[in-house]
Amino acid sequence: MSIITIKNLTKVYDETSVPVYALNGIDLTFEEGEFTAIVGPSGSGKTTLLNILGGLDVPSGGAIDIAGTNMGTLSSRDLTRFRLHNIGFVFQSYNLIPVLSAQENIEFIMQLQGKPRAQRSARAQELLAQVGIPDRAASRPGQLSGGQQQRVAVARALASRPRFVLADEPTANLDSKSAENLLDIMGKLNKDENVTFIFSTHDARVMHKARRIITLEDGKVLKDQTV
Amino acid sequence: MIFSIAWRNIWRSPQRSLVVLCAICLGLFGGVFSMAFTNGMSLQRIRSAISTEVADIQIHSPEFLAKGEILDTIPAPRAVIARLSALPGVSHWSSRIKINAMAASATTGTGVVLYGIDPADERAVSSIADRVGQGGYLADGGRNDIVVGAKLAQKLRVRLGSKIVLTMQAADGAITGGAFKIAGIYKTDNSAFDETAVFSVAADLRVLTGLSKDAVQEIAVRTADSRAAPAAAARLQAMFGSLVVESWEKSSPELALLESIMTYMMFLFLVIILVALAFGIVNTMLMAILERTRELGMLMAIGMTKTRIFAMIMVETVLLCLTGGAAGMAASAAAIAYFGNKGIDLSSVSRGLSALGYGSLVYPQMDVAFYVALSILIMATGIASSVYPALRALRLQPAKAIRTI
Repeated sequence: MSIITIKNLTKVYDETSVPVYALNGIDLTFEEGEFTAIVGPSGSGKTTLLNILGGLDVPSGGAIDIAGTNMGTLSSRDLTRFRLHNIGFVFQSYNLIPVLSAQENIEFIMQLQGKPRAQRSARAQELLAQVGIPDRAASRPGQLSGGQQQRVAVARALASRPRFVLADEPTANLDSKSAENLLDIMGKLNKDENVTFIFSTHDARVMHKARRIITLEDGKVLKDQTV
Repeated sequence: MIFSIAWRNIWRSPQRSLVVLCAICLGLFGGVFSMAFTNGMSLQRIRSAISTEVADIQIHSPEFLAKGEILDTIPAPRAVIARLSALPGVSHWSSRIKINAMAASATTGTGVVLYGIDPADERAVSSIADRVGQGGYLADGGRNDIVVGAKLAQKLRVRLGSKIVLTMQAADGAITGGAFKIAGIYKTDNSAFDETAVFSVAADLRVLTGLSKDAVQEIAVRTADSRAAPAAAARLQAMFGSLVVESWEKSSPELALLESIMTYMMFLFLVIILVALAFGIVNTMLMAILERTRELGMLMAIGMTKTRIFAMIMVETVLLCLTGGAAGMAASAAAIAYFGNKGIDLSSVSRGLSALGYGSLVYPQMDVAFYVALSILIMATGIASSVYPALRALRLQPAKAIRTI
């Protein structure tokens, strides 16, 4: 069952006299439970595509439908709520809240959703166990390694029980071992919990772990292959 | 959790936060303490004037206020006093003969206001008896004793036991006079009052002027609470329609003006301090937001609404203000309590202060209500200071903010 349908998506940056096509007529469909890598060289449009998919940026043309909702019709406020309940984010630089512990970082998004304290706590502990750091619940981001911080970020992304998780270069700041571990954890969550992951990478060490690889170049889909 | 994050964010950069907190604390301490100092001075001036010069309420005939003649007495003063005694809130009263006179010593002379009093009644209304530094207060009549201010004694070049001649108008319109022996020399905080007000026993003045036994020009009234004097005066005025009843605010408008100017000055001073602090707080919060651009972008991305982000920044700013404000208020309250009990000695400039009617020992004073109002103002300052930084935060584009280095 497809959860994301993209039709003729374009994004043009015309801040200079020469328009730059970051995305140029993209047509894609993502099915529930996919584990997809979007790859391509720098400037190919990976981040722009993920930003538009996540509702953080607006397209210049085309349409995106996520689980029956036309993203173009949502107001800024509705878009924020839509992200809160439907999309999980993992960022390249972890982006955890430094003044909160690992568990509080995970609970935070559930609190935004209005979930009760007991439910938040139980879910956060369950997720910390799933990403392999149950003993670091009370640690603040500054006390965790890069790999551990990114695991917390994955747990936070899953805390809201989103329809899919977008991860922009999640392994870019990690060493090889941490990068492989993170992808293994994401892969396991995908298999065991049927969580849909769409991640961008230009890291050859991890892209082979994806089951679908979409290659972008100059804002166009160059290749879309299922492994 | 917004409250928790906001509080922890304050301590994210402890050095910077402490600088801001110290600025708020010291600013408020300086402001509040100097306000308490000035407030204490003006309240002392008002209290001193009420207890020595004007009492809480004065009753006169309208003619006396217009002309000040010796025959402009209060009609049926016994009936007035009988009704005064039944009025709740009225604690003491004293009937006074009040006439203008010339005082002359062997070397010089000057104009004075001569009060003829019943010493027992007057003691309950006025603190002049307690201010007599040399000699004693007035006792029974028949001896032509007089109590004068230190400034007048200095001006007339007389001392305790000296005789001065008082010349005044008699009840029949003729000029009369008599020699009075200085039985006591008083000193209040107001040297101008000390230079003009002299006190003698009413019975002696009646003999001298020919005024009838009950004739008085003024009834001075004390109330249990000076702040209730205007209301009590209004009730008395309703009872004695043919007389003029004035509370201290009316009979001594410069005191009322002093009190109202102090209130405005305190408010203005406070606003200036808080506005100055607000600029520092805005600057600090703008820096904090600049440093947290990526984090704010992340919060927007994961689904934190603009309202919540605005609230988080507002809570953080208000907490910063309240923390510094609480420290500043606690420090100033402690200092005010200490010096309010011990007093601040300004005797080195006592002559100048006395000329203006102020005492040389100042007891800083501030009401609890002021602290409540100040807390509300600090909170309002925090809210106002948070608006611009919060609006700057809301203008961030999450996709760009997340990538900020």
